[in-house]
Amino acid sequence: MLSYNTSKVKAEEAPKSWKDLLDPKWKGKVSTGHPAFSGYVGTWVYSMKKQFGWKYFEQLEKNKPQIGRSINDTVTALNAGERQVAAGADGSTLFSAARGNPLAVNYPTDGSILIVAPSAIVKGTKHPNAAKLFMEFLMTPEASEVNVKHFGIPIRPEVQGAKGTQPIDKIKVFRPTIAELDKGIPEAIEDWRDTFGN
Amino acid sequence: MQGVRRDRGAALTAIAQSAAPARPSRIGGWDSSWILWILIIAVLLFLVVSPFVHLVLTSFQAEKTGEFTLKNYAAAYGRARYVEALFNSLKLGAGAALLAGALAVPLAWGVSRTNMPGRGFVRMLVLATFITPPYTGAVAWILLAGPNAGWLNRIYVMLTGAEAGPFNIYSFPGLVVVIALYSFPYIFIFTSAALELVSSEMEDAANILGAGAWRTMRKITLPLALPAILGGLIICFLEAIALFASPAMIAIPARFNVVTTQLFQFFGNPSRVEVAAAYAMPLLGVTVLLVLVQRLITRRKGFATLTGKGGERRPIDLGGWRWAIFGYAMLVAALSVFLPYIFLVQAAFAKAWGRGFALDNFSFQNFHFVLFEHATAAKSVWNAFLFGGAAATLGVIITLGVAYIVARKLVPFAGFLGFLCVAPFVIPGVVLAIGFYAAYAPPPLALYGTATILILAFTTRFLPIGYVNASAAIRSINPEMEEAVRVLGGSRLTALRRVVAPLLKRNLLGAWLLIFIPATRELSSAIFLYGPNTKVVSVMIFDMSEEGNFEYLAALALLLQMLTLPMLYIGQRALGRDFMLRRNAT
Repeated sequence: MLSYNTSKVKAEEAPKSWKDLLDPKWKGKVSTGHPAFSGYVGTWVYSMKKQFGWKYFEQLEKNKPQIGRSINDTVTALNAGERQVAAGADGSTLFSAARGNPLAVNYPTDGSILIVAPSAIVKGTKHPNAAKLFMEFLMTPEASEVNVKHFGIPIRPEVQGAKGTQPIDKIKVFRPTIAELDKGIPEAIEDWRDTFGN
Repeated sequence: MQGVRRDRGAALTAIAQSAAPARPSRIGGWDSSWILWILIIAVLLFLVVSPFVHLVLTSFQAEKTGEFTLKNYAAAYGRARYVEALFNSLKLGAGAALLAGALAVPLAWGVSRTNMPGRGFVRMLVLATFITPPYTGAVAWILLAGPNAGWLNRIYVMLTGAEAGPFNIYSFPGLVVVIALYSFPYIFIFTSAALELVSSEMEDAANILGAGAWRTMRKITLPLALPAILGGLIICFLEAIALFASPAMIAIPARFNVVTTQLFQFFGNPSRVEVAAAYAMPLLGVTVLLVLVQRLITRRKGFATLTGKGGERRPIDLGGWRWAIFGYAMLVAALSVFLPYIFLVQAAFAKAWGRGFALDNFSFQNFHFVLFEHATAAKSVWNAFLFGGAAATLGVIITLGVAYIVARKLVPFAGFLGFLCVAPFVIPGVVLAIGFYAAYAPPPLALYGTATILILAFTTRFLPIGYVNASAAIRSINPEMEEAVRVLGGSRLTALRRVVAPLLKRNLLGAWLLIFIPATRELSSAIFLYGPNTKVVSVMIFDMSEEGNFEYLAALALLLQMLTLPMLYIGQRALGRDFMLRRNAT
């Protein structure tokens, strides 16, 4: 999702959609991660390409984003005031905001990228029942509460989300399939390098 | 000397007592120590030869099937971008080495040949630079020279009212500066060692013939030290092209790649070890070539004054200029030590570093977090010291054994063993790691991610340091004393354990520390080999550099530096103040 430095950017001026990042007023002020170093960023790049076509990144390049490695590099860049707006992640951004840093997130109107962390049981495991119990636990409100402590989005409606997050049924999401990503991310990385040069 | 003599006496008495009962006879000259020699050869094959052979083989093998192929090379050099990264590395190496030379040579000259004030202080600052890991320096410089948020730019904007500051760390020159600032001690060490051997008589001759201090330095002193300076430049060049962390933190946002960051990407997901191995070859080739050149230059015997008996050495009186050179030394120190550490300390004690030096921004929370709250940070420090200690111990034992075999010519082709010990010097850390990965990650050993593979890789990486020190030490011992043991019926192992090792305990402690200190901060080989339970502090710091939290990172980096201080203290007590800044330390 979109994040920004609240001491440099007013809430009403902050980008509301992915397209807003292309606005020339953010020239030299955008921060991103790198798809070859981060699966989050890879998923984001693939999703943007799918929704808007690669020209999205060609236009983004005109704003000379600062490219870090991890998606969490955007938090560093915003905190430092090195950059003002970013394609970031809600968890690490809000965690840092809770420590007193001037950060906030916007859930983009053209769709937050939903990155699902799948869980599975290894075939032939020695303790299948323990594993099943753990899988059950992951679905409980208790597990969601743990998740909320780390600014993740709860999957149980009865668990209140952390400060600054939105409940999942209130936001528009875009969710690529695993198969799409498996093929799409390596391609997106190559496209990225052609456009951004590394 | 007193101490040494007392040690010798004690050792001999101990031998005499323990060896008094006749030992069982040996069969046909077969000495139990042969087992040890065979063991050492096996260990060297395992540590040095096998990873190297695997590296080369892997580069010609198809993924999965293992058939012979040249496809990896095609993949590694098939894109203009990949080739460009190679050239970027060469440019980076050359730039960093030249800049480091400009930083180091005046300092070395000032410290070892002139009456510059504060010479001890300057040496201390060079040491402080030397023990600052390059990644810590890189983070500090991101705090200092980030294009918008860096302190230098902010201060510049504040003073001049300009729109933006002039410094941008995220650029090619930025990376060159950061690398030069933390590798110039290599050139300093080489140059000052050579300058200390130039006798004043040579300079006096020039003075008598009418040359001033400046001209003498230019025409006499510097040319005499030139081979050493070139040797240092080459070491610096090699250090620069082998670095991984600083380029990863700075070159990626600056939008270019170098060999090491490109290698890391080949190692990423999906992992293409075969292509990485093929891509590592030029790095290896350049390093081998330049190390040979360096050896040729620094071993040249043409400069008789550098090898002959010591003439008189007086510091040159610089008059008022001594303050100028002192000022230069302080400028270098400001860039490499003062400024970086001021802002690292600020970040380590800040709630949010961007808020600057304010009382309400002060907190111990970051230290508390990395020590007690973070799941793996404290353990990573422990891992680094544990693995470093194990590697140093192994390294000292192996190199002592080999140096002994070589010095006493105990087996045919002993010299070859010595060669194997110094050979890892030409293998950059990342390349070594790829070799270890290729050799020991697959079954049957399946060591990937274990403590064992990290310890073994560290041992191999620092064998040359151990060997240089151990062989210098062994050569200082007269074989008579071991012969006494043999005459009294003791085996070679007894001689080694009860005479040689006790006599050399200071040297061995020195060698141990010289391996241990760099091993605790080693990143470039660890980054390819660690697993979830074997993360070391260098990798932890590197990970934190992209986790959005420079405050924790700064706290952890300072912690690592503070833990190194007692080691330095022990080393200096045992071996003299400059034990880290001597030639055999590099």
